[in-house]
Amino acid sequence: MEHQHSPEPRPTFVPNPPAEQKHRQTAFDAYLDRICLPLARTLSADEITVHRAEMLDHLEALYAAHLELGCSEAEALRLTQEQFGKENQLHNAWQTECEAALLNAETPHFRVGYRLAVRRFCFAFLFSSIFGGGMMLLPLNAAAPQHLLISWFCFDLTILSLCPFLAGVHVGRRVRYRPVLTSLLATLTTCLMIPTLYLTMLYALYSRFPGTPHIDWLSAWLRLDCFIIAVMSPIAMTGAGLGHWSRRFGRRKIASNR
Amino acid sequence: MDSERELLKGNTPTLALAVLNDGPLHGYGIAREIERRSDNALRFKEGTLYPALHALEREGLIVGEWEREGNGRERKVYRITPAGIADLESRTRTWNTFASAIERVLGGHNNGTPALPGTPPNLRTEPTS
Repeated sequence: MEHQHSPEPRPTFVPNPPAEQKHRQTAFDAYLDRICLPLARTLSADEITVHRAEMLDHLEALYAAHLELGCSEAEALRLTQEQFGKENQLHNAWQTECEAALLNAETPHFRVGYRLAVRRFCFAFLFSSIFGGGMMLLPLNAAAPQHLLISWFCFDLTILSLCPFLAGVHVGRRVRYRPVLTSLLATLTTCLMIPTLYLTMLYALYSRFPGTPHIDWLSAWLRLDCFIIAVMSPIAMTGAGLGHWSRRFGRRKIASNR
Repeated sequence: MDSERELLKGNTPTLALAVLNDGPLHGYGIAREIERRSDNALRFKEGTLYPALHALEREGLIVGEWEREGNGRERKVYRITPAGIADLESRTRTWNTFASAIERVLGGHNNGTPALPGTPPNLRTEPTS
């Protein structure tokens, strides 16, 4: 009986890519890794692979075009990346797009909107705290005229309320799903942190002057918290409502123009 | 140069839609076509095209499909949708209004409008009768 040998699979010889090609692949991979980083927050692994392949294809085409124009390989690599864009610029462009995609998704992402709102309100309250704390220095100067102090105080109050209002408008325009509630929750979250910062700063400023009255930290903190919740939250929520309304109105106008 | 780039960045989706209105193309092709049509005047960072295309696709203004080319290479080709055509018309109208307004302001010294006090003599023109 003849013994039949099953044909053994022939080992396929895959030559190693030349050093320059390997270098190029590594450079493009590292470059795309940094650009595609924000995509992981929004897209699935398959979708990221598709976008990555698309951009790699573009990079390879640009590289080939530069080589055809007579550039050296290193020069072509440099010019390709330069023409495609700086990594941080593209990273930011994708980040903005991914955030917009999440905020406008069919299934609303409450957490994404909330994170955005917390960031905006943190910034707003931080600015108003620093500004308000700095403004408190003027009343300490006894030589300052009364009318200046009053207008200074009014200006201070305007800025303090304008910051959360503007942050609210921004949140209202960006967050599609329950922007007013998101603003309220974000205000409640940030106001726990900001008064502490504000009071610490005030204490640091006041303590430089002789005869500073003793501050009861807990009651001051609670009073300021109540003030922020009672005053700043409605301002922020009004801003968010207005922002949301202006966004919807703008969309309706665009739709009617079409 | 920076202001030119900023202006271009905001209008990348419009340019991409305008190019796709004449036929389907892939990302690299769109960039080359914008360059060709503008006689190399509009040069932008080509990587910014992809987030813009993603946004247009998300809004349903274009659709992308992978297609195999003659050399066996696969490329994602974008096509404009009817909603994209309508959006392009709206964007073109907005741009024309904006451009003509800017043109009127820039050419204000030369369209018969009396010059404002303080206008340099070389920019003054007599009103046309």
